[in-house]
Amino acid sequence: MATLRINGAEIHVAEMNTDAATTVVMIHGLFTNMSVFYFNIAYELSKRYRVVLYDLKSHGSSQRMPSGYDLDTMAGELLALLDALNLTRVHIAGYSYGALIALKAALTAPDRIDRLALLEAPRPNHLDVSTFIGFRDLLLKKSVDNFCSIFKMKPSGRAVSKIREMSDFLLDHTTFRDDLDRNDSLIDELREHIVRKPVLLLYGWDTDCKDAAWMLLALLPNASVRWELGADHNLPLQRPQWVSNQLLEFLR
Amino acid sequence: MEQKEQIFAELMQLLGEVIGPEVVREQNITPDSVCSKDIEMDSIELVKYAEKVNEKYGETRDFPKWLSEMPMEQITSLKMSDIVNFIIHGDTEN
Repeated sequence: MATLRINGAEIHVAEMNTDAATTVVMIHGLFTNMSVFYFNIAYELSKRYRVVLYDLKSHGSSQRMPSGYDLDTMAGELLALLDALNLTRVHIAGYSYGALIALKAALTAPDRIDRLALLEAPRPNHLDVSTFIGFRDLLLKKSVDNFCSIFKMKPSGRAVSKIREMSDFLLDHTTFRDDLDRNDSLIDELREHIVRKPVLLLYGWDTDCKDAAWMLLALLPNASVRWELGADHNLPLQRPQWVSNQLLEFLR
Repeated sequence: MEQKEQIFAELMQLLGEVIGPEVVREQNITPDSVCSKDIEMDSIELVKYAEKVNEKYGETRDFPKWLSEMPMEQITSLKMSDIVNFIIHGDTEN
């Protein structure tokens, strides 16, 4: 277990198979943490690769920070993490908002990223303030329900309180809402600066991000998409073995 | 002290470092306590606990790897005694 100071925040980092020649960095999504990958997908990948996982600021065991949740800032933190770990070139697998952070990093520093795997990437211009304000209760309910269903818990107790507390912190005590508004330019950037890297898009068939899949396929000339029936936006939790197999085949 | 009791005490010490000693005291944890349901460890606490256990016993037991080979249902029903047995035997036999 390591904590690294990245651009002013204490960031929780975990690594597996540090002797491997090639590195995969895994980025989780909003309102979750590195455990989305840690116990299954990361271990499968670590049989072949060095795997780096980190908790985004204010998530998991990383320090809570008042600002800087836009993609530009968070991609900068990813690149600063690579610097701190002396990683010159890596593969990246990002989930949900983590996929957008990966994509932004590929635009910012294309020479540092080989292949991109984007799991359940949403449309950046749909992540606006109204999404999170309007669906705040639904978002919290879904997070809690997912957690309770996975961990077979009643929706009460210390663990669930922590989810609510973290969500409240992000939504009420940080610049998170305003920062999301600053992500709209990503689509224009993708049109202006074509990302020609191999990109793998993974989605559950029942995802609410289908339109993002079609949009990214149109914008990324070397992208391919794989769909998993019976899964939705919670794809890495619902189908970890399928995701692992897809990633191993893509990164080979 | 019997080996199982000693390992359990060590695991409780590590647990206190992750979830806080006051929480450990409040939860009245026994070898039969289930990590998720009874101790109410959340997912990131389980990650940190796995890393702590690996730091202490990693030379002979790969605890994160053991967890990674379990289906989620088995992880969520994991008892403290299962971890004790894994540390001693390398699996959950009694």
